[in-house]
Amino acid sequence: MNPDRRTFLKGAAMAAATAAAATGSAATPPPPVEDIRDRMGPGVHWDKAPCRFCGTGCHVQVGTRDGKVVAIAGALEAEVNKGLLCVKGYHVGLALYGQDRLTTPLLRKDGKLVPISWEQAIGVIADRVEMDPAGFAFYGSGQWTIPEGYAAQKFMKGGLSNNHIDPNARLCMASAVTGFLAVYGVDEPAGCYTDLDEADVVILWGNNPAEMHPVLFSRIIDRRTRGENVTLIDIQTRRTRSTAHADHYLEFQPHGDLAIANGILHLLVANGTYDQTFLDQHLAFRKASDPPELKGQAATWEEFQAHIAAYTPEKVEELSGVSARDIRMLGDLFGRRDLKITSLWCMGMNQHTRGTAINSLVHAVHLLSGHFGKPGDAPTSLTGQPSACGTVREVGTLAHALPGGRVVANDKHRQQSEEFWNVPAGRVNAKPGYHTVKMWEQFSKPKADGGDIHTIWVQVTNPGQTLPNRNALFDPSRKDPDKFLIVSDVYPTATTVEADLVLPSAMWVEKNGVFGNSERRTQQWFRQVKPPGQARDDCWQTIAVAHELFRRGMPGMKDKDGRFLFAMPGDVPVWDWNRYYDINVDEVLFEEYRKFTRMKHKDLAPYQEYVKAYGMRWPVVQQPDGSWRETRFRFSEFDDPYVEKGKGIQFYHSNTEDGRAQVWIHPHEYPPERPDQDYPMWLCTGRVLEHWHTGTMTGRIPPLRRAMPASYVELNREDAQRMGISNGELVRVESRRGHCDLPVWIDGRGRPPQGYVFVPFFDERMLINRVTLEAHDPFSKQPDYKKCAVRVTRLAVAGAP
Amino acid sequence: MTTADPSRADPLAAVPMVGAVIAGIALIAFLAGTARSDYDFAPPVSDRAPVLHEVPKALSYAELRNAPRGADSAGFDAELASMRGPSPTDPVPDAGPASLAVTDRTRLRSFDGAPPRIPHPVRQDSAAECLTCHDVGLRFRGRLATPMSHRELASCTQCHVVDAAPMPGLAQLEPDPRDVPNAFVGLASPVAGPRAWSIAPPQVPHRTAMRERCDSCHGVNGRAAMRTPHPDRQSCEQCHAASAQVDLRPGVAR
Repeated sequence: MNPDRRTFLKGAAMAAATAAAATGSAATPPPPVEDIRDRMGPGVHWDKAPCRFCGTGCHVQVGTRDGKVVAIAGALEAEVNKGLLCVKGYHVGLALYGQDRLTTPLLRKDGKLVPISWEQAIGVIADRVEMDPAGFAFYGSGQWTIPEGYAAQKFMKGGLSNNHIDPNARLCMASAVTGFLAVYGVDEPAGCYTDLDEADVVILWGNNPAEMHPVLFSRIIDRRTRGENVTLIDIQTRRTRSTAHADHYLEFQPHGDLAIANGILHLLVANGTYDQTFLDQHLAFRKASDPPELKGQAATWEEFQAHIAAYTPEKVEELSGVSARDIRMLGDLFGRRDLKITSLWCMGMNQHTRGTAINSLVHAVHLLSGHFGKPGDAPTSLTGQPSACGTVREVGTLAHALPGGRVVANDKHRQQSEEFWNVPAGRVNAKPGYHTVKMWEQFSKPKADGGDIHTIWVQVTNPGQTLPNRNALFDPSRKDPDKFLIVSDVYPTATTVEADLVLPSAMWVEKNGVFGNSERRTQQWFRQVKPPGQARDDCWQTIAVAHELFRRGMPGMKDKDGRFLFAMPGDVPVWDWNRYYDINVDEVLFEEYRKFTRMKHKDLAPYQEYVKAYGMRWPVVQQPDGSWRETRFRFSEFDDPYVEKGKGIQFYHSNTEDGRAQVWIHPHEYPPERPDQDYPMWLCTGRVLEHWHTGTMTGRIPPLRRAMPASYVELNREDAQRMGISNGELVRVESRRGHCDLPVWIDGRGRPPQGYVFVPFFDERMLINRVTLEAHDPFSKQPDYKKCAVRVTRLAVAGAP
Repeated sequence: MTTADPSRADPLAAVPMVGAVIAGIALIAFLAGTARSDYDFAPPVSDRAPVLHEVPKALSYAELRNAPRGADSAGFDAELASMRGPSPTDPVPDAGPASLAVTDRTRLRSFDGAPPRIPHPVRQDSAAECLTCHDVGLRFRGRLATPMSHRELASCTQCHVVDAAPMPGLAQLEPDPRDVPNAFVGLASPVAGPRAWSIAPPQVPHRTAMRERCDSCHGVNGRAAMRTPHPDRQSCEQCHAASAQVDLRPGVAR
């Protein structure tokens, strides 16, 4: 609360008491008026912040007292969550207070991590950069704040002329990006969460929002208790908590989703129920090119019809395992104009070796049926990280990208970026850097064998636990003295324990920040408590290293006028930690970044507008009266100011430059690895409600840890009986790449079909990513964590423990 | 409600004594409760249903006319009555300081406003069963299922998680390096709302979002010291005003 206000209230009470005494109306003065907020604990200050965890982007109210977070409440103002949170969100404040926070920089000496000073740590990083700037790589995160990602992006591409910067979001939503680019020519969903309030039918494509996006899931199913009808269709490979609320459960074979989408397209055409007007006005057809390129080549309506002719419901049943009757049910639903249909997907469609194809096909289903561009009618991808959209997709912290939807390979885009950064022409390298899998391959490979990455700086992520096939992509470099791993994090992780240099970071409300959520909403917050010990902002760390290199005379750290790349207004020396909060560095960087956002019509408002708001969805466009207006439905004339009058729908970044979206021709294909005699079962990996990703934060929150203390393998009851495995028994899950030993949980959180197992990846004791496959989508380079072949064997043959 | 009514004379002589005993028992029970690291789901043995050594004889229609619930009608009726809980017109017992009841609530909450954890096993793959007991609330063999105070929210396990490991086989695992103490100190719950003058109705001292059913905590099944002394009155907000500021309502300065 505002202390002035509190003083005023008490003063007013005293004045009233004095007045009463003066008139002689009371023998004793009445007690001072009590501020009811004191009943909740005196001195608690409340301020907003987006939740630290997933991509939903709920806003919380953070209660702080005496420099500590003491309470969390759902923000009633926030349109995303309207006051509701999930169990992680309610406990997000506890994430700051695990006893083993990293509080001092640590350098590995003689095999042990020993404390060093920040000056030494910054010096060590600068030495590694100077040694060979081209072999230095930055591995970032969809949990980077927008200013953090922007600073890293500018440091690498605008400073070092080095494009080896890629984020963990590559493992998370890259296929959604390539899907949007291939179909609409511009990234990110056209719809927004408002669709969930309006849809008559919600389809979950390999998605379990009851656990992964709980607040959005409640936003759908709570409509039922309010008397509304919403049909939930769960298209899945195993039963989950979402299935429990679904009207229809369609269980498909891995990669069967490609057949299902083609089957719906087939029925729309065969039944004549596609939207002819939408097709005539807004759509074009596209097919694969040779060599394969994201934009492909033009195709015709006839070619499209010929392609989908094969995907009869019976054929789709054969390919996917979903009955022809259920395929017809889906075809009939999309054929109806009187229903509003929203599709949701997340990792199931993105962590897919044909991720770009399945994303494009689900868009095609919505476009051809005209279920697009009206509230409730939308194909919407959900993201897993709080700023995968804001920092990775919009700031473009990917090996091939520049801010605002630009790419390094485009001359004009490089030139614009150099102008915004005020760096000399030619500073930005035209050649894309290494994507995540390639970056870690090059880091794992000895220098003599062409492994040209010698140092990786990891911020806000835990690749030691999340990289697929860890044995091949992470472990080798840890035995190679030429390779140097730097990790900035808040707690010890599977990555920090293997690192050569560990930097303690500030987290969440220990620093200023800006996130961008799944529905194009940009969200700002202020620092509310101080970080522990010597922990410091990741953004400061990047700027401090840049400044050390500037001090040493590295030309790349200077702009065209010889000024430091991150020079601040008033020349505040923010590289000195004691001065970092003398100015709002976030605001300075955000205003600089904002210039980049116009080209692709992802316009952002000034920083101060976000201070006032509970997030705003871009494009945020200034109105004649000076106010700033957000956009809920892109490409739709009734809401998007960039659609020309009279167009209705306009895809104004169309790949064919004619305002049309692309309906893609993509066949069903089998996954690169399928169960066989030696490895007879499917393995799927994923998350659980209580833990967020690798559990670095949630693992230190006691109520969450108690509710979900360890990883497990979900096994079908019949399979378990056949193999003689009992509930709770320790088994080995083994693939061609590695193994992981876990306890079995039968009929627990999820229920897989026969021949299928599921393992959560949050537990650092049981690294399932020693087992997973690094095969990835050809366009997005996103690996498939959802399917590979394994065998399950008993460890204790002589009976269960 | 903790103030004795001076117009009632004799039985009250014992009140301080009884109050002290109840408070003492409550304190011991509370300390015992906090000392437990995991939840004991099974009710005490004495509380369990007696084991029947023979199957009760089926009754004829004529016999059922006199004993509609079978041979053990009296036992059945007593069990049923205990499930219904006290009636709103029953006198409200004095149950010691409210602060103890408030502290007791914190056993299952990380801070005031945190969703309580679930002190019993639940089905892990569905939330459908929660309402069996928590819809209107239920008292059964000394255990209380509080009525849910936000009926429109259907995905119960989104916010409420179990307080003990739900899966088997954990003993075989090595210790979790992340199992470290957490120094978070949560905001305590308020004990009583302020009154404008000595006998004015107290204001609601806590947030009301998702707590739209006052009887969930203050009803006849609530913790003794938190119960309303006038459960027959149903329109709580008529006299007890919530605070826009405590509620963190939109547009209100905080």
